[in-house]
Order: sequence, then structure tokens, then C-alpha cells
Amino acid sequence: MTSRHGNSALRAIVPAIGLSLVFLVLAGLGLAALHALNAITTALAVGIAALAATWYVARGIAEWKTRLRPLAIAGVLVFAVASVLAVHYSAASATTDADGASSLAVWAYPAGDRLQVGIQQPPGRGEASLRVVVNQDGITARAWNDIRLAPGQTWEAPALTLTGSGPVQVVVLNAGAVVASVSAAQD
Amino acid sequence: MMTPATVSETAHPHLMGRASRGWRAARATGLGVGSAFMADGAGVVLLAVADARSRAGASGGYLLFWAGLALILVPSAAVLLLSQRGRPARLAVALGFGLALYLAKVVYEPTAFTFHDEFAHYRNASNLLASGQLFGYNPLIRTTAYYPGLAVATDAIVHLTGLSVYTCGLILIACARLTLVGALFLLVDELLGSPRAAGVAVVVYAANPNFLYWDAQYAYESLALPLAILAVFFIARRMGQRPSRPAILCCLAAALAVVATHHLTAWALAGLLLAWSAAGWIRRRRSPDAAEYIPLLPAVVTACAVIAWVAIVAPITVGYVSPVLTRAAEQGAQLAIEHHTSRTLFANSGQAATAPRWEDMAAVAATLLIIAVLPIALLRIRRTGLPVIAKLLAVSSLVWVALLPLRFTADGQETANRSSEFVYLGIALCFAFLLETFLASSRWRRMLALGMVILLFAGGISVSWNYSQRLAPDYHLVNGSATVTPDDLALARWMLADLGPGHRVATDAETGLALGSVGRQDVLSSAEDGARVWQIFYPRTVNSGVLAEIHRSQAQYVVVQLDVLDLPTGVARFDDSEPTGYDEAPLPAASLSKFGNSTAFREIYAAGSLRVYQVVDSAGGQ
Repeated sequence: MTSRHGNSALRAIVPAIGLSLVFLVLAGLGLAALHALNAITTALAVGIAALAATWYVARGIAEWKTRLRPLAIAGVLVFAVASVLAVHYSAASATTDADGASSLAVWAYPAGDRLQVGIQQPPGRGEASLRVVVNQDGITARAWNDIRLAPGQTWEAPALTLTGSGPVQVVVLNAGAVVASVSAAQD
Repeated sequence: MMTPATVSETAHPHLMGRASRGWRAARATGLGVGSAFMADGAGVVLLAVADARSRAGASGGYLLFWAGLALILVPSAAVLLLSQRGRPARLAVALGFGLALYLAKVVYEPTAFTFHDEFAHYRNASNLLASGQLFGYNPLIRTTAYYPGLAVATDAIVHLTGLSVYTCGLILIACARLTLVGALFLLVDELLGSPRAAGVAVVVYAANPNFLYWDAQYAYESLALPLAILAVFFIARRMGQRPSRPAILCCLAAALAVVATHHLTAWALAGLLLAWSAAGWIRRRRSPDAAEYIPLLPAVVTACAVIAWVAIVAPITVGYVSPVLTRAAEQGAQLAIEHHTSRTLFANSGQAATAPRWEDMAAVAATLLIIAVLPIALLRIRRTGLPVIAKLLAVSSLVWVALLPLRFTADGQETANRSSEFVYLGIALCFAFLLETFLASSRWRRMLALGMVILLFAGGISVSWNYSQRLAPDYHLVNGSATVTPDDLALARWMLADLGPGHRVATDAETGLALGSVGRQDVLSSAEDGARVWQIFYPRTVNSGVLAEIHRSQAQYVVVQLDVLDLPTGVARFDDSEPTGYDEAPLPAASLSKFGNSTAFREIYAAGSLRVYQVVDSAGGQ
């Protein structure tokens, strides 16, 4: 596929990347159609694509060597480092913002004849000492005190078996104040 | 790096001078390329800071955003347009430019997909990873599941690297972006025979409103369009000569990959190849001596593959695309016959902030510039002996002009906007052809050319993305019903882990994106499964109508986002298809709290403004 412009390494890189994508799509489709899209078959397919791409690009490697410019390479390196730093900084900023906007989650749902109860401390908050109370018909059925949760940590109660059919409420308290609750009607 | 001089060169004073000039030229090339890349890096850093400030609710993000874009654009455009650099240097700068603009989207949200269509494609990749089956159900955009090119490529990288779908998606689209910019550069270089014109084409194409964000998102078009341009590049030749057999084979492979990846791009590629064949045939008939290549094989194979794919694999595509095109045609006809406009330019809906006036002016000026340049370029191109494909691409720019009036219509606007990434190929070629002569002349003309591409770029960015959403959102200020929040994602992960995938869930559109993608739940949607979600949410009490719709749509869970109460009137709250009238009055709080007071529902999850209710009994709706 050389043209009148010759086949510089840089010129060859573009079709090599593009054809790798094409190969990835077509090989992936074939493997998925055969229900054989897994790590081994993918590694084989990508290995073949990588070899072909390397061969394609390597045809222009002689020209590549003579055309390398230290200032250009320095620029590319600066771009690469700046991009990594920018993405890392942005990821840290986004994570902090998302963590800060997260809320304590509480759940209570029946699984068979048992009740699954759990809470998750949001990642953006500090460690908390929580109290979880399960009420049925307004009467405390179970309670867990001093549940210490680190940011982002989840706590799940042992599966509960409740007798009676009255309404169930799960309340989460922090320093005596209700911070979350779920009012789950019992079957 | 200095080119090693031979003994004979160093022995001769005249040749020494040549070697010295060569060294200076090489250093200048290195400096030009290096400076452009460094500026790209600095620009990306500024964009990251702009987004971070926006997230933190701090001021200055807007200025930093434009400063970052200017740092990326101006040095690269200067090298591509004004310098005397060689082909490899220009290509390198073009690739850096394209990649830097892609990173603008990455730093916007570098931890998760946030654009609407990204959630749908995430679901496709997740479905395939979980089941190994192609064409799994996608409640967010069903049609996307029948174009699995992106999903299989993503999953292949996931299998190979063990990285997340998100990270692999970013890598994949970055490669696609490099392919797009590189293939466009090489194509225009091949057709016009000028690397400088190719550089112009890259910068002008990057001015299309969908380049910065839309075609950088994790979506099928972002992969398919670069492959389509690559397919054309493989077989396009400067003098219209016949390409080699390997080149034709590569073109066929790329075209088939496009067919399996994105409907509109495949249709556009098939149309272009067919038109190219027809025009080439006509040219040959007029002048039998012409050696114009007719790409009959690629055209026929692509067209047959497109038809077969739509007929056998994805007939759903017709129902997905035709309403959009039909509405655009209707409103276009209405505009032409009755002069009735249904949309005001630059108007914002709801309470969103409006863009500064200068952005609107830049957009209008850029539009006028294109309108002024196209006829001149087309007339000049007509008189040249350029190959048929070059002329076809140039003529295709007229589609942009033809669709321009649709921007005055509410429904046609989407069609006009979504065609940008296709028709800008022709616009880029026209500008490249015209500015090439400018750039070879006086200094002021060169500066004028640079000014023109900067204006085009500024105008394109101005209409690229809603002003209020152009920078990363501050989750503390954003309404939970207007964006996917961290609580939505936490709920989605919890539902998948504790309740399992595939439950039918009634919720609002934004929460549904998280549940339908990360949570792999089958959220109800009017467009995808005919559910009338609004009939579940709007009534103040759990009446027989609510239960009937829950029963009919087989909803198992109702997820309430209380922030929906804060949405302004005139905005669809639960489904884009909800009938007009529902959104004209504020939503009463009772409409959302009713589920907690009914024995037909059991509250099972609460976090912030989210509540999840399990449907216990919808028998009342039978």
C-alpha cells in the first residue's frame, strides 16, 4: 500500500492502527458468534494483529531512524507526561467531587423468609459509628450498636427471621440522630 | 537530529553549506513539532484544571477552557498551515492535535462514562462479557445491540488486559481518534498532493461541532467513522489510478467492520462508494482515455453487506432511524412551504445558563464563512483534474448547506447537527483546496488563512455542546434528575450485586441510564418496550391506572428520584415520549411519595434522594 509518498514509519502507523481496529472488530465478531470470545482466543487474534502491524510499521523503520528529532521527541514526551498528569489530576478531582456528593445507603429486602439488612458508608465521608435498629409494629426487633464503617465500607447484618406480618422499619442512627431509614412492609 | 554528512559533503564548502542548512531545517522541524506537542500538553492540563474548577463550583473554568483549546489549536494550526515542515512532521502534529482534543473529553469525566449514549454502549459490552452472546437486550437503545462492533472490540481488549470496560473503551476510542485524524490527513494528502492542504483539512474538520465531545464519546459512530475514512483512503489515488489488490482487500475489511459497527456510517460509506462508482463510470464514458478507477467491488460488497445486515440482523434500525428523518423532513417541508420556524437559534430550554454573546457571533460568522467559501472552492475544484472521489467529497459539502435551514426546526435540528461529522469531510476538503493557494502566497494571506480556521474552530466549539454542560458538572449543585449521580451508580452496583441483573425497573430517564448500564437492569422505556412510565409516576395516589401500567409493563421495581420534583415545567420528567401536558404543571410531592404509603409496594433501599420500591402486588391493575 505504498504510494508515491513512500512509506515512512509515521505514515504506516495510521493504517496499522486502523487495521488493528478493523481486525479487532471482525475477529471479535467471529469469535463472539462462535461463543469463543475469551482471553486465549483474543490473545491469539490480537497477537496476530500486533505482529502484522509491527511488520507493516517496521517497513519504514529505516526512514524513522534518520528522521528522529530530539526536540520533537522531547515535545512528545512532554505531551505524554502532561496528559497523564492532567488525566490523573482530573480523576482525583472527579473522585473527590463524586465521593463528597454520595449518601449513606440503607437497604432491607426479603430473601425467602428472611430479611437482608445492610448499610454502606459513602466514600466521601469519614469513619462513622452507626447504630442500626430493626423495628416491627413499632417494637424494636433487633439492634446493632457501634457499627464502625470506614469510607466506602459496607456492613450487612446476619439474615433476620422476623415473626408476624406487621410493617418493618430499618433505622440508621449516628450519635442518636436518624441518618437514613427504610420502611419495608412485611409480607 | 542532524543527518550524518558524508566525507565528500564535508570536503566541499558548497556542500557544507547545504549540510548546515539541512541541519538548521532539521532543528527547526524538531522545534516546530516539539513546540506543538508541548502546547498540546499544556492545553490538556488547562482543560483538566477548567473541569476541576467547574466540578468544585469555582470560577474561571470557562476562561481556562478556551485558553486550553487555544493552546492546542493555535501552535498546531501554525505548524500545519504556516510552516515549511515536511510530511511526517505535519502528520505528527496533526495526530497530536487530534489526540489532545480527544483528551478534552477524557478529562471532562475521567472515571466513568457520563454521556447518554455511552451508557447504552456500556450495556452492550457488559452483556457480551457476562453472557458471551451477541445482540443481548439493551433497554437504553435497543438498536445499538445489533451493531456489536464496538462491544466485541472492547470485550476483546477487556479479555486481553483485564482492565475495566471503561478503561478499554477509552483506549479504543483514542485509537479510533488517531485513525480518524491520520486517515483524513493521508486521504487529503493523497488526493490534493499537498501535506499542507492535508493539515488544513484536519484543523477544519476538527471545527465540526461534533468533533470535541460527540465523536469522542464511547459510542459506535466514534469507532465506525474513522474506519470508513480509512476504507476510502485505502483505495483513493491522486490521479484516479487503480489501487493495489491488498489495498482493495483492506478497504473491504474496513467497510465490513463499519457495517457491523454503525448503521448511518455504513449507509454513508455505501452511498459514497456507489456514487464514486457511478461518477467514475460516467467520466470514463465521456473520456475513454481517462484511467479513472471505479470502486465497483468495494461499492457492491459494502452495499450488499449493509442491506443484508439491516434485513437479517438489524431490521429494528429502520424503526429507529426513520422517525427522526421523517420528523426532520416534515418540519423542513413546513419551513419551506409555510416559513414556519419551530426553534429559536441559541435559545436555551429550562433554567440553563446561556452562552456569552461572542460565542453566538462566532458561530454565525463561521457559518457565513463556510457559505462564502464553498461556492468558490467548488467552482475551482470543478475545473481541476482531481479524481472523482475528491470532487464527490467536495460536492457532499452542499448537504451541509441544504440541511442548514433545519436548524430553525425543533426536530430537524438533530438531523442537521448529527450530519456535521460526515459533511465536514467535504467542507474540510474544500477549505484545504482553497487555502492551499492562499498559504503559498503573501504573509498576510497566510495569516488570513490562519484566522479563518481559528474562526471556524471557535464557531464549531460554540455550538458543539450545550454551554451549561460543556464543563464537568458540580454534583453538589446539579439536580439528581438532570444527570447520573454517584448515588445512582452506587444503587446500580448494589442492585446488580444483591438483586441480580435483568429486573424490570420503572424510573426516570437519568437514573435509568445508571440502572440500565452499570446495573444491567431492564429499565422501562416507551421507545424501547412501549412502557408508559409516566402513567406510573404522575398520579397522586396508587390508583388502578398506576397498578394497571405496572402490571402491563411487568415492572418489578420502582425507583424514585426525589430530585425530579425540582425539575422546571416544560421538561419531560420520566420519559422523552411522555405526552405533552404532563409537564406543564409542577409535579406534586404526593406523586412520588405515594409508593411508600401503599401496600402494593415495599421500600427496600434508600440513599439521599433515591428510594427503591419492590412491587409486591399489582393485582389491582389486572
